[in-house]
Amino acid sequence: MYTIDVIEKLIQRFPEVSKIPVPEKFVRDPEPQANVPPQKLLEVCRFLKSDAAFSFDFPTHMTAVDHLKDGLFELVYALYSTQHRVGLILKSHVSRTSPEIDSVSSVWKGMDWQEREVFDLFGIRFNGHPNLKRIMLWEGYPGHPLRKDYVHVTDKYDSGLEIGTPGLDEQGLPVKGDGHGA
Amino acid sequence: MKSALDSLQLLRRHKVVGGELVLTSVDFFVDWARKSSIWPLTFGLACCAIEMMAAYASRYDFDRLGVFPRPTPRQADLLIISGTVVKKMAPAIETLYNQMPEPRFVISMGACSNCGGPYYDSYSVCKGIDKVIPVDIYIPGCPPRPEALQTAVFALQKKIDRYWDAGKRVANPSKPTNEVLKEINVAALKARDA
Ligand code: SF4
Repeated sequence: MYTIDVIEKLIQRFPEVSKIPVPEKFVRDPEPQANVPPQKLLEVCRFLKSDAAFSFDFPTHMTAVDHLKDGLFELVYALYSTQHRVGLILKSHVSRTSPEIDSVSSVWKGMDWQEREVFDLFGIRFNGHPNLKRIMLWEGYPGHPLRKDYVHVTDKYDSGLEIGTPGLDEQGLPVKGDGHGA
Repeated sequence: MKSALDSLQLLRRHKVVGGELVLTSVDFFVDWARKSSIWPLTFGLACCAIEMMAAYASRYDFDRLGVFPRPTPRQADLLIISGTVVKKMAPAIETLYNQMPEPRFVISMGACSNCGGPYYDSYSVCKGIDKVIPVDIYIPGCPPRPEALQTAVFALQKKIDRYWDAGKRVANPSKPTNEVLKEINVAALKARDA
């Protein structure tokens, strides 16, 4: 199977999927990219793994991109077929206000921790994930730091001050109404 | 060692039947023994730890200074913070420090553990280990070479030499005040809402 065929075949099977043009001028031997609607993602992934013509058995990685101005999170899944030796990149967009998408960890076990990382750093929820907890940061961390509108709150390891210092709440933020206008 | 013997010459010797007697205080010898066998904890955090390991190995051979790593904080005199201190690790370091018997010393090795270094603006990196535990010697560099760590050990030996002279540990460097912290947070929130 040639790289060019992958998307055409996929679109034949799922007409909702669309091809994303890759600037071939800049990328040598680019991996084909496809846009998948979030509702269809799990189904498409199941198909890509189980169908003998594709057999994408190796999930290279997944990550997310925050498009703050468009109000969207873009999820990026990089897949590889060790049998046919082709790669494929799937992209899916979810809204920033209710970031949710189906988990593909039931298809590829390797996506389990990848999804936890995206949940940890972007706050995107993966429905059907067996253990959706923070993986890098600790429980109780305020916010999701890779979001573009994340504001870092100074804590005791930044300032050397103990949490619970008078004038600060549990998160090290100034207590409201103390004349600082916060 | 040399200074120890030199000082011995200055001590008063009392001739008694059957030999000589030296009267002195034991602190001097305790300090001398202490500075000649500084046992650090086997503990490395990031890339600086590789340089620390090189310092323990045969080319720089810290054994000749009486410095060799111990596997438990209960037997350690020295904690070398060699690398990036992430906020998730900082409480564990605090525990290790508290488990070490007094007197205990801390060397902060490299830009990361001095002040956060290249990760100063990160959300997850502690801006200097001195926010968590008191530090005796700071080594600049990213990473410092083994020679720099060796210099730090010499500096620590000098410090221990005068340990009882000084009476007590040098106090923790001053921390930012509550007001400063408030200003930082208020400015951050304002920038977000603007
Ligand atoms: S100071 Fe430099 S070499 Fe040392 S831990 Fe930090 S980044 Fe690594």
